[in-house]
Amino acid sequence: MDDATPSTSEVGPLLLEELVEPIDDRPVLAPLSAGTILTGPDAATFTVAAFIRSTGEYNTYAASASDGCPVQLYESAGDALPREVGIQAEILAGFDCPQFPRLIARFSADDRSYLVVSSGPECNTLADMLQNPTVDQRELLRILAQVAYGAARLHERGWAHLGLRPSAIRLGRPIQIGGLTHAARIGEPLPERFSYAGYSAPELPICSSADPRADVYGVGAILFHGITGAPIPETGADLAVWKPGPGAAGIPQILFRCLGPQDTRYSAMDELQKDLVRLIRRTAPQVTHTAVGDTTIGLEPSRRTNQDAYGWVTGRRRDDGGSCTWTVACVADGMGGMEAGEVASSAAVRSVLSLANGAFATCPEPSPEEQIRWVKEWAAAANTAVCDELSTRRANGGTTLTCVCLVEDRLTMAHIGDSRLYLVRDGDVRVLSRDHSLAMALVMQGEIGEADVRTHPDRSKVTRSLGDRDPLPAYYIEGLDTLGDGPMMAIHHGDTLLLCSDGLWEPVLEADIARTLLEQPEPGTAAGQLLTLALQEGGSDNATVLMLRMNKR
Amino acid sequence: MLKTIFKPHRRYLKAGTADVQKIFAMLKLIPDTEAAASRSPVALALVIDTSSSMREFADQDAFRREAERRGLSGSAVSGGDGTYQAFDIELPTKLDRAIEAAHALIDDARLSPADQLSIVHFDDAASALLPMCRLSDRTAANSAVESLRGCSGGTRLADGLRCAQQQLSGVPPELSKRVLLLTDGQTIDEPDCRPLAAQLATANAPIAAMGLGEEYNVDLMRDLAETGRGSPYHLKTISDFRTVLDEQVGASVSEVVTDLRATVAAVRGVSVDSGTRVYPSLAEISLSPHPYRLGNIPSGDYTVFVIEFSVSGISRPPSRVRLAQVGLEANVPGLRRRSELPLQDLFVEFTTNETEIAIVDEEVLGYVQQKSVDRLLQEAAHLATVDPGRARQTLLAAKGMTQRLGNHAVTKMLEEAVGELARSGTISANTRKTIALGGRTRTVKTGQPASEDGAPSEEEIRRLTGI
Repeated sequence: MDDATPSTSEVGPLLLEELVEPIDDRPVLAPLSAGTILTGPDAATFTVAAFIRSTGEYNTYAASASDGCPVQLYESAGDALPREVGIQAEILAGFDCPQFPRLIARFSADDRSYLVVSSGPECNTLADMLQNPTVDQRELLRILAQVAYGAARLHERGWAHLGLRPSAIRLGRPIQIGGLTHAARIGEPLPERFSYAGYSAPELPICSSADPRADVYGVGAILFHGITGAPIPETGADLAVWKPGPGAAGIPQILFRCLGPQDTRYSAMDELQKDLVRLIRRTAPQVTHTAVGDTTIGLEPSRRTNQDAYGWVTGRRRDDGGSCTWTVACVADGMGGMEAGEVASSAAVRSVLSLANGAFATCPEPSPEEQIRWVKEWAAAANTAVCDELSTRRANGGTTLTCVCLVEDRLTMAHIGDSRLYLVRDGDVRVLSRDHSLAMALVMQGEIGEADVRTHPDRSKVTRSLGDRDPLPAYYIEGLDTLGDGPMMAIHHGDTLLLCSDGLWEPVLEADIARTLLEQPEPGTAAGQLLTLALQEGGSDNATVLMLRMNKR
Repeated sequence: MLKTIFKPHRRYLKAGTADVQKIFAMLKLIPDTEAAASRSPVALALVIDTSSSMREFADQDAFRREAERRGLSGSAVSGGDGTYQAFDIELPTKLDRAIEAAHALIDDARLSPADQLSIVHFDDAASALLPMCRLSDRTAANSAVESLRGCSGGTRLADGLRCAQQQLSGVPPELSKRVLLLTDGQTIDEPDCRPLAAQLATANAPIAAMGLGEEYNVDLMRDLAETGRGSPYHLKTISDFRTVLDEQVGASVSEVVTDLRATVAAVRGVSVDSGTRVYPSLAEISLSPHPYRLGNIPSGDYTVFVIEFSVSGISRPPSRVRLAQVGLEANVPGLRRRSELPLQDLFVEFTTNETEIAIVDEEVLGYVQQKSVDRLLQEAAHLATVDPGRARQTLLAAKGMTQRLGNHAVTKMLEEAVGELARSGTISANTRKTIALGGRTRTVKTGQPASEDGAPSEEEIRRLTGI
């Protein structure tokens, strides 16, 4: 051979000298310099930030719109855009899908044509993510569910992407699908033969027309790459001999419906998207709620009854669509003589737990909006139950009520009176409720400090309670939004929610609560320890503690 | 000598990465006018299994009908390779049919008196009933075939191959040679068979390995054919034997270029992963020793090879790079010469433009996909007995590809297999063997409208050969 190094090896190939011809990659169009301002339709301006690349037919720039939003700008010579760019304009015009860029403008100026599309902040692509030896399977599924959603919307518009691949998917919230250069109208012939190694359906280079099932294959091929650590060889996926690991349950089923022959694939991208979402839910970490409670009558000799009441109800649904764990817990501190206090608190707790049971029986997985609404409705209904009970007994009284509803890791609350809800997280204690008491009103008016509430003479005079009136005005029942962080809160693995009556929080400081929970990680023991502390501090009042811990595994 | 087309399935690879990238390069050959017009003698070794099982009736259905009509019940007779039923019924046996086919081969008008033939039988032992000789005396050859009737016993296939090798040893190396092997059972000397096939490959004598019925070792037949760059055949019935012999005679006499060898050189970071003949039939090319032995090239149609390269380890800037070079040399026995062809360079452009990287050559990729079809068929044949569900999936995947490739024969074969699987929940041994071997002998040309018989049009041949 002319250039080959002589070799005596019987096993080839021989070593060949490398002939390299440099490519003239100078842009055909002289690139615009940074800072150049282009004026589009309606006097909109676009400022070039940086030249990205040239393909010979067109240049690509990072730019910004007049409102400062980042955009991608394509530039070509003449009045017409090359097909690769023009196809984007055709697809994106009027297409409002968060997974795709928006068409901002298309215009000509100085014998050049421009296309401007929206561009998210600079971020990695899925190809970068797949470079990692270990890929977070759930994160990958979340990304692909978005890709499938976006692709389904594209199909609805009559287009097939045909080039779905990791480098065309920009990560972010939401993800953005690019690389539309080979997109084609469904059912129409393809202008050229192409195949993205590892991701294109095997029929694509030899098929006669654009078929959306090629995109189903694309999503499956990316999933295959993420799960196995390598793209599908160009000679085809070895699904028949692929041995998925135990952590991949549910994935082979999806892959077989993506990577098989066309007529065995998902017939619609929406079906694939639903299966991906279902798998995400099935593989979600299992949430467990652990609740314990305890109460004491206190040390005051004149108190012959414990007017506190507490209770919780918890449930768990598990099926093919995943699992959902929920808990409703409440503490009530009754007020009034002639048994009115214990009747009121007990009626409030029974009412809430009964309604919660019924609600979750009919709707085991409420939406966030339902969860926010429900808990306040239960508190309002508890007020009616208390009023009815007191009316029947012709007694005067009432009760506080602090009620939480925890669905998986989402917390909502309804609160009336001076019982409290604490969140204990990583050794810190934070109160999530605001006392409806005269003392707290003075704090809010700036007349006393927050630390003085525990000892103020009016600390037991509550300004709101159940049993006062029926119906209650809407403002009466407070939620978590009182704290300014919205009506719902995310609870973390290991967090403890502590509901208690004033018999506990008055004598026991937050620091003592934190220390006790650190020293006694087991909730049952900690609850008992907190009540002991209250009594050691001379706790005269009824004291109740209810602890709810959330764990994920 | 040969018109040659050498091109990759991608003209562009990704620049700036050391990750593995694949190049499938197609080497497409057709003898030129001068070579195509030359015709040199061929040497055929017909190797026939004469074990006891070959005395079974050729048409079992006809036998059963006749036995039932006459109310016969047979008696078991022990043979060298088991037992068979003995009846006094005048129906042809498998051996009878094989003898008929052998006579037809001897009398084939396409064979000239200068062509050579040897007839070898094997059972408990092997012998040449017709030592390798010119076909100028066809009467002697036909008499030798008749003497097959007197043979019986076990199955020692390696002895048969060894005998064929001896018969071919005296044939000039540049001539087109072929071993036409027929067996219907398991052999007791399997370990000796593959090395003999390798020795025959060295002598450039491909094996047409024909397995008859359900009892033979399909893996062995496939390996024997593969090692010798021949073709494996599954014969559902003995009547198929004559068809295959007819096809093989046609192929032999058209092989005007023989013992083609390829010397491959590649730059650093480029390795050869595999070599495969993909048309007109499929066979893996051994990558050791080097130069690679590509076998014989017939006239009148293309012969296509695919060489699989891996490009890795070196990150290249945007540039046009020669990655590999192929040198070819072969005999043209009809012209009494051995020639070298001009070196074939494989240039690829490295780029950062993803759209360019995605561009593929439909024709080359079509041949690559036929390799994939074969892989799927081997998997399906394996899975058929252990996991019918997956076997079905694999067959459907293969069927989808053969449909797109326009391979009607294999598509039909797969439809029948899928239908059988749906009806019975399994695939019979016969069908498994058809699947395992059928796809290898029935590849099609790609990159152009497929014709039913797979032959190139006159216009195509004219364009390629300059005739």
